[in-house]
Amino acid sequence: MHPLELGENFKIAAAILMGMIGGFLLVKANLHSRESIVNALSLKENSLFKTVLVMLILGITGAFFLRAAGGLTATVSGGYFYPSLIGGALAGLGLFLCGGTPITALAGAATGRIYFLWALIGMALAYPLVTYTRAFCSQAIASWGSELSTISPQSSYFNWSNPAFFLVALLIAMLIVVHLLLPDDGAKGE
Amino acid sequence: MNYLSGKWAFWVVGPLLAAFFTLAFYLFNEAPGLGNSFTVLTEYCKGSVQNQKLNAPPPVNWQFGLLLGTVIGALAGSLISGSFKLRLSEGQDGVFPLKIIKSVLMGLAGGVAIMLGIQLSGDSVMGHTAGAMMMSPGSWIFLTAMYASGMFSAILAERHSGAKKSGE
Repeated sequence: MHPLELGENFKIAAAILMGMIGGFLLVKANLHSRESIVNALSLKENSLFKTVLVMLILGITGAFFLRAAGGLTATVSGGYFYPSLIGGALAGLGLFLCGGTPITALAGAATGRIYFLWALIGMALAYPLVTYTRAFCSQAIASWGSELSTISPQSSYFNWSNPAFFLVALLIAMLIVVHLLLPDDGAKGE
Repeated sequence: MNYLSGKWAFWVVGPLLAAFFTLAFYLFNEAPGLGNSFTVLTEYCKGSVQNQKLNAPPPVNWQFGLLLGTVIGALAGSLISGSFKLRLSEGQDGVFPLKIIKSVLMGLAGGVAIMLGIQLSGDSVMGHTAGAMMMSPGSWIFLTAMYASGMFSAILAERHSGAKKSGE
């Protein structure tokens, strides 16, 4: 098995189709609503966390077996510790304030939630700010610790020395805790 | 049909989203992120504003396709479920003009904060989610920090508004 080597035009067509599926799923998961995201962050309902945890558990497993079968050969950068940490903290604050990530804000705006347009404008406004502070940022990235090492793929999945298996076990434990401790929203419709 | 009109449970959407990412890995052989297309779009808008005319459109790549498809898919999802409705703000509390102003300010501030975080960490939230599935330590740190910071801010705001209400 090899990764599908699509031509550029077929890649764009496939991406549009994939985006349509993704956008539809975001609406079905209620991730296009600010209220739903803020309720989850305030620990008032558990459906968002359970959706994310199940997605990560199955996604890690799927990526592992796809890589083992040769269907995924690309590797990702390990990232930098402090930029990831501070970037994540800023993104979390932004997630609470505007109630969406770029992709969920886009999906939300497409469903008539005009208030997400302000978030999208804010995201666009951040770029000039980044341009002006780029010199500082690149210095910061270079000086705030070295690049984190990537995790080398393992041959066996069901092995505690396999980080993917360890993480999946941890996420399953978290899923159980979230299911037991946080209130259920009862999968109510809109 | 209720399954088309209502919200889906986590045990339906979670596996479908995981399948979506796994299929994207196989199709594109890389982590599907949107940071690059947002950068290109913003540079295009900036160039057009500076030149006072519309520049030639930026080259379309598969990440733009993903953006376009997301808009179509979300619109279709809301039309099928009958939930499409123009909303200027969300929630019931607050007086009309103040509610809108609050919504605008929070949207702008949140958008700036989230995009600064994304730029600092080097990828979009979707890219980091895919990166986490591909076992990138940086993506795990980003996601953990994002949810922790989001929960901290939400709980803090909740307590603040609760204290204000009980004081009234």
